[in-house]
Amino acid sequence: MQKTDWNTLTDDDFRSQVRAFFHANYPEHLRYPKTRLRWAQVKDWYLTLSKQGWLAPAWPQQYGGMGLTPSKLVIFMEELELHGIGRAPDMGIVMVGPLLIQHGTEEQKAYYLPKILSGEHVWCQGYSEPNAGSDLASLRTEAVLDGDHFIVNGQKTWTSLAQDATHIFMLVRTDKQAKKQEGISFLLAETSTPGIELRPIRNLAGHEEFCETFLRDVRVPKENIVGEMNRGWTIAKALLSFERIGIGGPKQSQYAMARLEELALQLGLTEDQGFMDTYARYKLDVLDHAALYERFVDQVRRGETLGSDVSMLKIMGTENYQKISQLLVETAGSAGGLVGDVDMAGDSFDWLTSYYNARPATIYGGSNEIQRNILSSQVLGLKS
Amino acid sequence: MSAQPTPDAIAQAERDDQVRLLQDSVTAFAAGRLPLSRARKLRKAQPEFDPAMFEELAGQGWTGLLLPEEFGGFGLGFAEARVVIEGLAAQLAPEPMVPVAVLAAGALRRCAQSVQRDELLTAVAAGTAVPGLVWQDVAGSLELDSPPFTAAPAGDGWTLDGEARFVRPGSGATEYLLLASTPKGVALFAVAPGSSGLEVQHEVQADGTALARLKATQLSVNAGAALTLDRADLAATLDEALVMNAVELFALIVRMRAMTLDYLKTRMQFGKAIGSFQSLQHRSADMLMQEELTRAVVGQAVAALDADVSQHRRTSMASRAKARAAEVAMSTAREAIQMHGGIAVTDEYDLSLYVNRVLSLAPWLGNAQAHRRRYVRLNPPVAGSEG
Repeated sequence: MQKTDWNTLTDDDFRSQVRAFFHANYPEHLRYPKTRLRWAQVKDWYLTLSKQGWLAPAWPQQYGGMGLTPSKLVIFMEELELHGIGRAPDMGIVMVGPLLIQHGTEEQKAYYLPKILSGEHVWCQGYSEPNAGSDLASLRTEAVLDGDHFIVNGQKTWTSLAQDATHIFMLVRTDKQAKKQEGISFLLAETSTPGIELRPIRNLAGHEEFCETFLRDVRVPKENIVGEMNRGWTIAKALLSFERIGIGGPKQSQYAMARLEELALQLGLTEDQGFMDTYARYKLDVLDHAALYERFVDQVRRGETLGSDVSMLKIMGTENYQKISQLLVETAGSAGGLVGDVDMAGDSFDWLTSYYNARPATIYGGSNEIQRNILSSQVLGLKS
Repeated sequence: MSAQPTPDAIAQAERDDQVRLLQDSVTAFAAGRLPLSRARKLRKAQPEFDPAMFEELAGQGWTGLLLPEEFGGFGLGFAEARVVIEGLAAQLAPEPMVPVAVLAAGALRRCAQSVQRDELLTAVAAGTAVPGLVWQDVAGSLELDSPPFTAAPAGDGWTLDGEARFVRPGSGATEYLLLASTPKGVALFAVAPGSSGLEVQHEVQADGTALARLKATQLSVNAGAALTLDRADLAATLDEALVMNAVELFALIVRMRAMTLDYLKTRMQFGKAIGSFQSLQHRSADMLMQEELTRAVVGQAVAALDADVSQHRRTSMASRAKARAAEVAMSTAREAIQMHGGIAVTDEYDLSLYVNRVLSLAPWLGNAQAHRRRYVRLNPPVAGSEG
């Protein structure tokens, strides 16, 4: 594939090329997946994107990305969503890549970036710990320098799809004396390193999407630190704010709303004023959230940096998703507790998957309570 | 890297500048001429607004902002009208801008051309006529298929019978425009308030203004008073009034939340500002989100009025905007009162003026529930929509 400057295409041409490629190449059976896709399921698609040069739309072209302008990037993301394309294990693309491009050494960039693009390296995120969730800066996994290695001891948790990962990026404590935010460093490790042990956690829905990660005397080469020693917190915070518009979109609640509409039609509820009043309320909540989302996306299109107020998108989107998925279960009536594809008047419906998927949405990526703290302190100027 | 700005983008930038200039003059006018103390004094006035101020607003060009130049107007759009209406609403000016300059004048300018229509429109732009549109039945239906009055041909003119309600301005209208069905369709009939055969009652609202309730019994009007229009044109006018009504409510939301935030930062209890308590912080964050949600949907609705979109889309957006603005105005009023505590339930504190204004503006032209239902009637659920 020769190098193309996608930014020189008109928006319409770019959109139709992207759309045509997705239609022609994305496996039909993986559209609108109900659960997170595992590496084995999605590897072929990942490599297809890789060959096309479309795996990293936001990375600069010099590192193998598409180098899209913000407005082209928005189109690319919209088309991914429109076609119902599942999220591949993408921590390397959305977190590690941008991190290394900004803060990595030349050696780190040259070694890691091509291997992310080739699918040789699959990354997982080691941030949360059993006693450091919302209060992430109190993390205690410790890295002590010993010659040209760090010796890492501690425990990470909620490591999503660590089973599929070859590498983990972690926040570790490198200075126990410093104020809690100031003694943290950013460290990269191979998950096959002796002393790293993964234990999958079975979630509420019975799936194994995340793991506990135990680290016992793990020797990590000194050069695997990203950025300066004890400056990891600042780097991680920048990445988290980058994450927030992504998890604040209306797509999940729109999807649940479409399922609710189908179920209501199937059950003949459009004449039921009680149902319709609640439905109308939630429907407008979803539409109006999408209007607000659009305002922030416009900001991204113009190349502006998003402020702390972007937190409101995540709160609204995830809370809408929860309300709608709960209404789905309630609308199913006595069948509400049935698992998987359930027969309702001759058609099959699955509401518990939406219900389960919606639960952690208000917790991960900074819980909605933390997001409200951010709004009140940074947008409203209320001090504690 | 970025392309040359398109002609559309340049036109938009020029318009944005124009809107900003207008915003500045509205802000300056409101600060100088429309203090809250004035709104407080006018609460018990008859009529419920100051006709001299209405003329002054006309002098600024604002009552004729949306009207074509041939009537002394400026032919501007709703992006501009929004700025004026928001600025006046924030200072609780009781002058009936939305009822007269948007609703009545909007219906009038869509009527078939006639001498009476042109004179009325010119007088609205000059601030000397304050017509009220009389279109809703006593149940307050938003449907346009059964006008509240029936007009029967009688000699050279007409005889009107029927009853209508929820008319603004409730007092001080210089004429009423009665929506009646005729053998040929619908028409507006311009009638003076004191006409014999017309009974006008004033139902007082929470903010001290009134809604007029009109009953016509064998009311005779001359032939020239009949101004014919299409139902579709009336529907388009109603959309505009709804969106501008949502703009007014949005202005109230912004003020109530700002007052509350100030209070949280200055009111001390237990030795610290009450805004330091997390329960109040999170509720403040929720108020902020609701305000921003309203801003987003009202903004889209205003843009839809100025754009070339289908009638279905316009009406759907109008209902969405009104539903959101009314809902959030009511919930913001509730939270503002609770977070202020006792002071908020006194007449003396200005928050009371805003709360009573919300109670008067949110139900007008249909409250939040009415518009949620209307939205869903217009856009019923369909199978297979991927959101």
